Amino acid sequence: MRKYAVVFRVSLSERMIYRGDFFLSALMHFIPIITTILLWQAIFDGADVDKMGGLRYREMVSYYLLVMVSRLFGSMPRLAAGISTDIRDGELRKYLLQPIDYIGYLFMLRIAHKMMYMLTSLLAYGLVFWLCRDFLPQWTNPWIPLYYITSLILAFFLGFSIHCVLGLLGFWFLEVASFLRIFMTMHYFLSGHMFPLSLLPDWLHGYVLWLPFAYETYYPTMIGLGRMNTDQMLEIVCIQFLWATAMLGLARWMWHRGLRRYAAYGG
Amino acid sequence: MQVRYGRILLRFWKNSMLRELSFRGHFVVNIITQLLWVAMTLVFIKVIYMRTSDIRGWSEHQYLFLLGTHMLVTGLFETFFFTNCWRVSELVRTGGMDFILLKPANTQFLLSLEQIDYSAMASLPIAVALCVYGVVEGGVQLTWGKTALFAGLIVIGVVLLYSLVFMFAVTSIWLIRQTGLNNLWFYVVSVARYPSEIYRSFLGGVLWFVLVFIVPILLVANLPANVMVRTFEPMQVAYLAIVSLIMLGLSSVVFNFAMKWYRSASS
Amino acid sequence: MSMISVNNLRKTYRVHVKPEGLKASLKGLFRRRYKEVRAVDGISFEIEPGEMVGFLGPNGAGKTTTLKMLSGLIYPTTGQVHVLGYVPWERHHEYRRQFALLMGQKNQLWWDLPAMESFRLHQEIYGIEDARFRRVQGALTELLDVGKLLHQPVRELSLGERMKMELIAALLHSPKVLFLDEPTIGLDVIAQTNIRQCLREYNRDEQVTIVLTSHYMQDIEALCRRVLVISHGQLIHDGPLSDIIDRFATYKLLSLRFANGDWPEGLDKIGEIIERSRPSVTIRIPRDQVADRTSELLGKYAIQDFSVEDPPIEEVIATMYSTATDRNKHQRHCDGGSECNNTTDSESNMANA
Repeated sequence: MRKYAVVFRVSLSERMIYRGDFFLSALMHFIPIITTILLWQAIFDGADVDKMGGLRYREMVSYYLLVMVSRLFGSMPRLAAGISTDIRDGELRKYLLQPIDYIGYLFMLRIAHKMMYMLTSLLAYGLVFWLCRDFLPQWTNPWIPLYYITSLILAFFLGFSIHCVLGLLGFWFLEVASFLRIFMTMHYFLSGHMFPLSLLPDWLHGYVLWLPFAYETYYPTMIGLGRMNTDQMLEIVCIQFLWATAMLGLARWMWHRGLRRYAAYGG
Repeated sequence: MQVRYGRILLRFWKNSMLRELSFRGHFVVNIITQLLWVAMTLVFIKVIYMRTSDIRGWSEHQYLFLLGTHMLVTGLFETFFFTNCWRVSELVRTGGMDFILLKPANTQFLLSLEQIDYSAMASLPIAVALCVYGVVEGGVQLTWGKTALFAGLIVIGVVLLYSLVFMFAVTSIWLIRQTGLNNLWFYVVSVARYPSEIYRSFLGGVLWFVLVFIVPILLVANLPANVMVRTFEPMQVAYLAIVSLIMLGLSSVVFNFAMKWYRSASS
Repeated sequence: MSMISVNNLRKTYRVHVKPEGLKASLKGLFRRRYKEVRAVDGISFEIEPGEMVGFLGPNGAGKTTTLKMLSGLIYPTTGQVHVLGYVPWERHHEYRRQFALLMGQKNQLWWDLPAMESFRLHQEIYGIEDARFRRVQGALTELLDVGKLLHQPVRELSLGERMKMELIAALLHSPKVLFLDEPTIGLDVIAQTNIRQCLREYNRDEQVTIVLTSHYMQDIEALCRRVLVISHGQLIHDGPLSDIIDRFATYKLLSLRFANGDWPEGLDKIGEIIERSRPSVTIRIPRDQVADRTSELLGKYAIQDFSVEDPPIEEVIATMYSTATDRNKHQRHCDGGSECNNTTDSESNMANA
């Protein structure tokens, strides 16, 4: 465990060397959200109905704000691309020689980066949420905070394992980067990042919710919004856990199969 | 003199084409990503216009035309300038800038136009298709004058975007980091995508004022679309043209200043 | 008039000192530490047309910085430079048309394209007319023997082949002055010799002025009659390579072969014994004692063969650098510690920088 702690510390201080503009860049992350919210304001103003996809204007605004929180946990920038280039450029050999598990190593690295990022962007998020405090949901169900945090952490696990699977495709395919671009575009839609999935027509709605991606963004956000009852929250968290475990299992399996292939081809 | 620069430009384009041909995959991937993006956006627009008939005065067909215009301007910028702007910091880091400084030709010219990203052209036919659809379905009367003005405004918009992004890229001479540039471009794209009217209600219209009059990125797509399918406002057209020229001049001033700094500070 | 004249050239720049550890880097967020580095510290020289001059010096001595100032890439802190009558850092198009800089560690050719396409681009940028382009490019291709590689993507070429292509790209516009920064770095011996030979021929045929820096003594030995040695930003020698030995080699090597196949006792009293391989021996002798010692030995023993040689040039240069370092340190000490190389704390707020 010690060596993972060192990995953690080293990458933490590495990040601190890049100075200064954390606050500003974290604040900038809200720009697309603000524009989307303004669009929704315009839509609600012109519409005859006061609810869309089951959400009022106020809830729609906080949906997008909470999506930012879900993405804070679930997004994995450069993880899959990093894995696939490690595989392609033979960098992997370096890790194989060290007595450290590659996926475990990446996991610690990611936690360090995430924590650092959350820490530095705390101020920016705090500011935006304080400014928008009137839009935020009132939690009436006392179980919400517990389930919300659990589902966010599981969103992190799920995001991590999905991106590992994507990166490990590098054992079999050369152009993972192109595939990733296509994937990320679809993910924006399928995870509920673009708009609440409840807006979709019923026939499409059913299919999309069966995919794991909704469990990275849409469902945790809906829990945070207080739109789910206790039973539903429990169900969501359980399914999140199952998806995360399944994906991690898949990643492990791919790792072992891939390594055998890697060794056979001499890297 | 102009002839020589024209010949250099042709050579740049020819060399870029030769390179593109060895990475044909990029083009295909871009087509797929753009098509997916458009499909997703169309779903979003359908979902919205199922519940309302106009957004701040923009009907569904007008909105689609705006979307096409936006894709056209950003696609052209990405084709001709984005890679070049992005490369600035890399050239500073690797010392490749030195080779450009050695050449007996305008440094900003060589730096800004060397690469052409043919794969980014993939979005252009899709953009044109959207515009045509918007015009035909919206029953808009086309005239040669309107179309010419539209084309001129697209060029002016691209010049404005180039000036702004290039100035930002040049700051990498001090920061030697390029992640900021990708983010900046992403923000510009996501802000300019919507009808400018939606920003009027935010912060008492301050943001709208800034984005229309000070850094007029909102006009880049809105103005040509307005001219074509809604109303023609000559003052705004003149204003955008003047600001674009001023920004172009400013970019050259900033660039020369940065080069002076670079050449004093490096060893 | 000389081709290149350099007068009291200096370049000082600041480097950011990166802190180590979490606490220090947190502090680094608010204030940065800088070090002043004197890369070039007052050097002067003149170079005549057609000369081929070598720049010698340890890493970080200021060779590359000097070449960059001569090329006009960077501004000096103080001092004057004229190349072909131009001040390089004013970057006149006319000046940039007449010289070339080749950097062994960097490449300017388009990586994914055949070198020929990059040459064509150079043709347009330098405005070379077709007939002349074909003639010059043909001649260079023949000189460097790379005709078969012209249409192969640069990334598929070996390092040596790539360097040859870089050289062609640099020479396409027939520069009058050529700056070469480590042109043979990382190349294998054959490629090194190859490039060296081409440079010598090119210099002879075209009468270009060449200034070259290199780590490899053989480059300088083979190419340059005149050598400038820089250490710690200062010029410590200007003249033929052989002068270095006269000035800085304090001893010679005396090799002896004894007639009876064995050495007598007491040889170590004559000088330090460097090498013993029966029946020969090599002794290091101070320069001023060579004549005396030799006659003493010849008189005393039956010697079959003997030779007096200068020590290897690399060794002499190494001695020279270290004497220069000592002298430098000594000087600084006497100055009462001038601020050179001192770490200074600047409290500058670099929020915008």
